[in-house]
Amino acid sequence: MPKIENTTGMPINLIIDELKSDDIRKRIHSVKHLDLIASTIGPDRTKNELIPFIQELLDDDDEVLIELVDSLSRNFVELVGGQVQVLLPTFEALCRVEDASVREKAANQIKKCLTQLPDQKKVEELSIGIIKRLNDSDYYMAKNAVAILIPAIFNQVSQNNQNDLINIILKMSQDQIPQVRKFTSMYFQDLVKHFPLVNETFIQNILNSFIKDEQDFIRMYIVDALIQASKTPFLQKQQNFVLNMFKQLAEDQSWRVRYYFCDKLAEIGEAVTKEGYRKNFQNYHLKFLQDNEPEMKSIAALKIERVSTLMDPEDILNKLIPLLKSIQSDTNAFVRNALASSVLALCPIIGKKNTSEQILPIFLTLLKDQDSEVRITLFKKLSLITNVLGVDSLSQSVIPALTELAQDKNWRIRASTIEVLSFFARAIGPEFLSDKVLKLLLDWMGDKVFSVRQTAIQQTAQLISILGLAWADKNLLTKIWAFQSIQNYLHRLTVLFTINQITSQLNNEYIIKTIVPILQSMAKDSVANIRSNVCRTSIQLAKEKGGNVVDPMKKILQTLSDDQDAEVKYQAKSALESL
Amino acid sequence: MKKQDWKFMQVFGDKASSDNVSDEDIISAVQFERTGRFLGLGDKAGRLIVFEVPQTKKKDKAEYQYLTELQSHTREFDFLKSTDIEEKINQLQWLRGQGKNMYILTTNDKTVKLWKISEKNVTKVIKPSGKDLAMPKLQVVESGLIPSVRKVFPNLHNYHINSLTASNNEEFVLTSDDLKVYLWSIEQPAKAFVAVDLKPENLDELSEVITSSTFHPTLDNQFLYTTSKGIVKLCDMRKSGICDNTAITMAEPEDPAKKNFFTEIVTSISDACFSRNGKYIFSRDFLTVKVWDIAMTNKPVATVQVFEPLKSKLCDLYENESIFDKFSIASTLDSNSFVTGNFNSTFHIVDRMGECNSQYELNFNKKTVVRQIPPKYFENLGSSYDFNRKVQKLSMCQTQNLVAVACLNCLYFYTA
Repeated sequence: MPKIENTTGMPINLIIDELKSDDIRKRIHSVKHLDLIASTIGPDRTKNELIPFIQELLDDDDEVLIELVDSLSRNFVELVGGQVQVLLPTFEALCRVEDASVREKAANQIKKCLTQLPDQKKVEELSIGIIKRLNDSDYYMAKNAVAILIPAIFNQVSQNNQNDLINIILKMSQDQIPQVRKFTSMYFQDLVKHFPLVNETFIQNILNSFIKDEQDFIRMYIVDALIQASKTPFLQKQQNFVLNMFKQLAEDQSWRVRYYFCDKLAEIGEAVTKEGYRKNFQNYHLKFLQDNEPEMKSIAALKIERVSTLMDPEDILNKLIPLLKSIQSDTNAFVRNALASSVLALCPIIGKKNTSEQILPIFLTLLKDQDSEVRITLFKKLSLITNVLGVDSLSQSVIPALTELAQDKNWRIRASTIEVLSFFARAIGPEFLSDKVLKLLLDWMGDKVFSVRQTAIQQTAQLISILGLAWADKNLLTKIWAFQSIQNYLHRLTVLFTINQITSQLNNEYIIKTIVPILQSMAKDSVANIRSNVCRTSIQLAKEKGGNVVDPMKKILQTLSDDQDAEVKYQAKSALESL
Repeated sequence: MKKQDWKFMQVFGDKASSDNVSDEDIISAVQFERTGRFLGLGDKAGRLIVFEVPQTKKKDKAEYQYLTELQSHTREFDFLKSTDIEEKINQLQWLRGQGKNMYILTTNDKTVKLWKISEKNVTKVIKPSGKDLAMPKLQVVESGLIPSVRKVFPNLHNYHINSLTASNNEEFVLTSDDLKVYLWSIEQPAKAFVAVDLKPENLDELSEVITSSTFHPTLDNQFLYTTSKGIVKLCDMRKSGICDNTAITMAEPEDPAKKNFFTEIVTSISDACFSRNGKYIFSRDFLTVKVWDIAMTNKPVATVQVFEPLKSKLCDLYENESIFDKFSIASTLDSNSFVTGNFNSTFHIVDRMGECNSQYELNFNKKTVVRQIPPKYFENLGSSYDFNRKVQKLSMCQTQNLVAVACLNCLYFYTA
């Protein structure tokens, strides 16, 4: 592999020393550059000196360890000359630390290393060794890695070893420490994939013990395991078992378990097919929409989009939509927001007439929601309803809503609304961008918050790419160039920033005809900041466009190289030099 | 119920140091570790001190010995409010150890920290890497029990943190301040979940604040919190996200006839705990302890006057501000009695029916000085009754009948 270049500005031996610095930031910096050290000293020395030295770093703060595991994951296999097993002890040690993300990454790196070893016997020997040592460790957190590794290598080891691994999982699933049972539950979904290598009885026993566990977070992950099991022949063999267990989870006492179940409804539906979903789980989703707990209503509303593809359109009309009426006026804004993000997905499924009768009222109510977030979320999915009902019928209600959002006192809302505009341009075309809408865009270009102006400029560039320069010039750009005469210099700057943003979409003819005069005039502006930006814009245009644009730009820069402001002078001069 | 015989076992501290107590040495938090092998102590100076029972071959009860200490919190300045943030440790919680490592959560008014104490070798570079790019040579400079901060929980609380408990499964930490109860995950200190929010729309209308909170000893989804109006609320995390909506309320309605100037102050609950078996709740306010049966929440099973003579001294207590003192309460292992502190270096062990109130007087003579306090007891508390000798913090061991009681800067162990 090519040698890594030292861009740190520090000598390598100093980087090495700082691995043990008192300052945590220096340690993190050095750890980030472990690959540089390794590349410099070569694979043999990395293997014999650097890797053993890393053992000294394992007692450090979580922040350093996170960097360490990331750093070692990058390209260290090559850096140790392809001898993957050299890295295994370090990753094994990292599987014992307190921070969960470090342990998981380290375990995943072990998995990756093992896949790169050619000798199958060696893989078996090493992996079983690592698993047993971590399992026997005093540190119960190390069992996290055990739960991750066992499914990864299960099908690559001998029958005897498989039995040992099964026993380890059995013991872990009954450990008195809840976290250990949690690890087992979280990763059981990966082990289940190996059916029939892991037999039916085993899977059933483990799931049965988990469902009785009093800890919510252990019961929760059964959902994942069942989904994976349903993708294997296990579903046909034990259909009742799977369905019953899903039902128990859907009716669990703890709302967090029900929430997790609801979150995975789409995956469950795919696993058990549409008929299975409609027969067994559809009613649960409808029940969740009426749950007392706002979080449940939220997740159920959010899932409408995906679940609707599994439902019969008749059921959507008769059973689902009536429930939405109470959700659209729910007191909790998160619930209404969730509804806004997914209700429009129903439109294409139920057809034009039903959309007009059933969904349109809900749409109009949400459009007037007091919470701006709800309205914005609705806008982002607008195409789903306009495709079915057509733009014209909606523009009467949509444009006033858009106008109101465009003037919202929260600048983030204003910025989000601008992004909606390019969607309209794309989906609907120039007819939608009536005078009213264009006025909004111009208002945004003159907004007092910089971020809003910036977003508006970006949207202008987008609009040009969708609708073409000619259209833009006629309807929009001419008005933007008029900003040149605004008293507040910040708005005059907008002219220059716009030019910068749309450079790639301008042709040289347009530049010579329209832009050059603008730049010439602004080069005489009284505010130095403006003149400075003129330099930047000129050099950008010259470099990107070339051709007959270069000369006029040079002339402008020459004028500015005699400027009274030192900064402007310097910029103009160095710009000229680079040309 | 079999009456327990509690006797003095051990004391840390002596008369001389106790007479001249410096404010910063006052013990502000005590907690036994889960197995009883260790005991943690926090003081006003922000220190965490750990005691252990050394593993010996002798069968009889070994005594606690000082093991190590660390500076947990230091005084900080809150720039927004222009006030000091005291370093006093308000509460501590032991977490399950791993191998030889100890994990302890400590908190002052604003910040919760997770400390790890482990056997380590601290190394120093004695020969740095040279042109040959050799690895630096290291030397061990310190070896033994070294503390390190593993996690710091960000300053989420707007008001002073009054309680800190970890759930039995250690997935969650519960902290409460005057208006909110938060649920944290130890794994992710940056995210916290509001379980209870008492903040009114208009802060001027504030009439009730949260005074303490604690998890159920075994059920990880249940916790209680108490308020300044003498109300105990039992919350179940399974039922809903914001737990206050579905909480069970336990409160005794105010008797308007008995109301006086001090009623509001003395009904504020200073601490409450579940009995070890989780069936009862013991709540301590200034004068009484109320025993609630969770199965019957309309009225307490018993209301015990801790030390009735204090009732006649309420004016004096108000003058010297001792009326605002907070006393801890703990349940005995068999759940049949509770232990709580009092003034004048005394603490009480009372059975949960309120029939047998034993008052123990702390002393340095290694003697158990105990007397029964009958119901409707009266005594004229003379000038020798010392309101400054407060027994505010105590902790019951979870594995044996052993209680650690703190009075000012001294720590006493009693066992049954």
